Amino acid sequence: MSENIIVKVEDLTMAYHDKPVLWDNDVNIVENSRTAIIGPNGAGKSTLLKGILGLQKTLSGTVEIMGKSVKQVYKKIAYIPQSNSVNWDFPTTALDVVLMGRYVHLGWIKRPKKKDIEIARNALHKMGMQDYAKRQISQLSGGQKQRVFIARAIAQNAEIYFMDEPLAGVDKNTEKVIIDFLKDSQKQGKTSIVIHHDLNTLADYFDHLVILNKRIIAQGKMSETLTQANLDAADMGGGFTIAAM
Amino acid sequence: MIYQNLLLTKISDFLNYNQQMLLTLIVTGIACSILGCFLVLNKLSMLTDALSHSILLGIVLAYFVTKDLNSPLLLIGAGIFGVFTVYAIGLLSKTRLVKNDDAVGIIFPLFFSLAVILISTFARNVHLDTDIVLMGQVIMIPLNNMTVFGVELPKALFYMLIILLINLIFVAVFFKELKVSSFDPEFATLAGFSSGLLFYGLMTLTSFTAVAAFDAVGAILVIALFVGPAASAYMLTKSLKKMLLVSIIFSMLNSTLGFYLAIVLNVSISGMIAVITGMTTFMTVLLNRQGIITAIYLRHKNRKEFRLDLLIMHLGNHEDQEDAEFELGFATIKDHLSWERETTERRLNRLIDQGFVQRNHEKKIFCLTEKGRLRYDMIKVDYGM
Repeated sequence: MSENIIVKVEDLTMAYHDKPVLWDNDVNIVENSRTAIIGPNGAGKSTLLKGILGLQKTLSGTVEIMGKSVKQVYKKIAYIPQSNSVNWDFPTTALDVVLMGRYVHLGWIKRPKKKDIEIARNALHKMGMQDYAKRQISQLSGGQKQRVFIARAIAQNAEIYFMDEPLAGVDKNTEKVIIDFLKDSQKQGKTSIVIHHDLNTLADYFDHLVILNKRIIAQGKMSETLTQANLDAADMGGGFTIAAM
Repeated sequence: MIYQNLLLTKISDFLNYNQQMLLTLIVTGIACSILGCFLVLNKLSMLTDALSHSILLGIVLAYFVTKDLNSPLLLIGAGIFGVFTVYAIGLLSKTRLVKNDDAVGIIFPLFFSLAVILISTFARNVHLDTDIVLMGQVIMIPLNNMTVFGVELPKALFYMLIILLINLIFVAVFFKELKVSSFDPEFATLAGFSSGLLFYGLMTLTSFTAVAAFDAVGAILVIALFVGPAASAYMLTKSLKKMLLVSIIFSMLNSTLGFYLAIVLNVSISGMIAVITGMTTFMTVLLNRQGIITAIYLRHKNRKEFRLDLLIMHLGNHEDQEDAEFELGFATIKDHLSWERETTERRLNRLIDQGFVQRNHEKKIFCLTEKGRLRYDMIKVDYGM
């Protein structure tokens, strides 16, 4: 079976304060996969996502998404940052945040139309958040905030989702909603790339894996990549054994 | 005389000196606060401090070129210099050798003191002294007139009206872009809205607003006008449009109250408005929805609501079970929640009034309505069950 590569990263090196965080990485993300990125703390997982998306400077390397540059296909890319990366006291409602997903298609100056609001409402509904549309975002729980972020990505109607630890600090219910959403998106032909931290659920939730510790340790199909040897090589083996799964 | 009046409308025919001053202050306040909202949201309020001081150097440098204190080029030069200040602060903090706050604290005292030295060395006879720089000269506003399109009005009022108009247009046209880039800059950048472009757009207007306002109200009040009303509105509102509106209301209130108090007490007008701005902001700290006094009120209200939620939970939990008829009778509800007979009655009635609960007269039990069941599901989500 031949696999299409939807995100192709070559020779990516990134630094923070002249101190390299990522060394010369080649990453290939398979189209229509649910790919997890794992690695110990400080492995550069978030940095890798930001580098791919052009949100942080890279020292070397090229990134191709669907064979083009990020700037050419930005409408098809949804980025869901760590939820603590924004100001949740911002005076705005859940629906309004979701509506921002539509801005991508509106471009400069144009205002959202009725149809956009309709799409945003449906996206909230898909996340089970329809009753919270008019709530100020500061009044949402951690899980609800994450659902709002994902609803924003749904409203954007992207092809590829980049998610930075979407399951961090969310309740069990939200975790299920998010994983169902990923599986559902896959059925619709979409690709998701997710930073994940729970090795116990890894094989259940995802079908492809990238193991990172400043360099790519291993990448590929889950069954072939999630091995004790690879985890040990990434300094993640301690206290965890594959057999325990 | 009549002929002349037909050609020339004098604003002094409609408004006395006090009213002209107040109108100018209000227009200035509104122009500042609508930009101030975005500065506060982007945590840039300290930049207004830097701007309002360092533009003095811009004014001085522009004066050396034009040799004319009344030239509009002075305003333009100072405005551009303000943008340069922001840029310089950005550059310095980008070296990562100093933090952004520190960069602000390094650049603006440098520029401000350079300006003071330049004035005291080369322009002793120019009418620019430190009192005026800090506190402005509100009292002079009605004495400095100009004629535009056959209307004679204070120069400061005219400039501020133009600035207000530009600011309003900027915020109205780029409302969506400013909102998304203030809330989530990375998302905005990825969505094709360059946050750098919006940032320098905002800073350019802030700079020109500060320059125009500086002349009338001085460096200290400019900061208060930018930050105070916006910070108050931030604490009180849950949408950006309302925040803008509330900040305008605060600004008008502060200016009016401060102005008349200053007249009555015969003190500095700018100073008094800055004091009132500080006080209303402090009041909102106490009274906003997360404020101290509000917290006490909400705790009381929440306790009440929590008990009603508890009742709904009880009804919801037992409704579909076999023991429903036993559990949902009045006496058992009362016993299980260990409430007084009267309180139980009152709370049940309250929920019936709100349409969450209905009486089943046949079985002599209470049960949830359709609306009550929705509320039950929401409570479960809210409390994470």
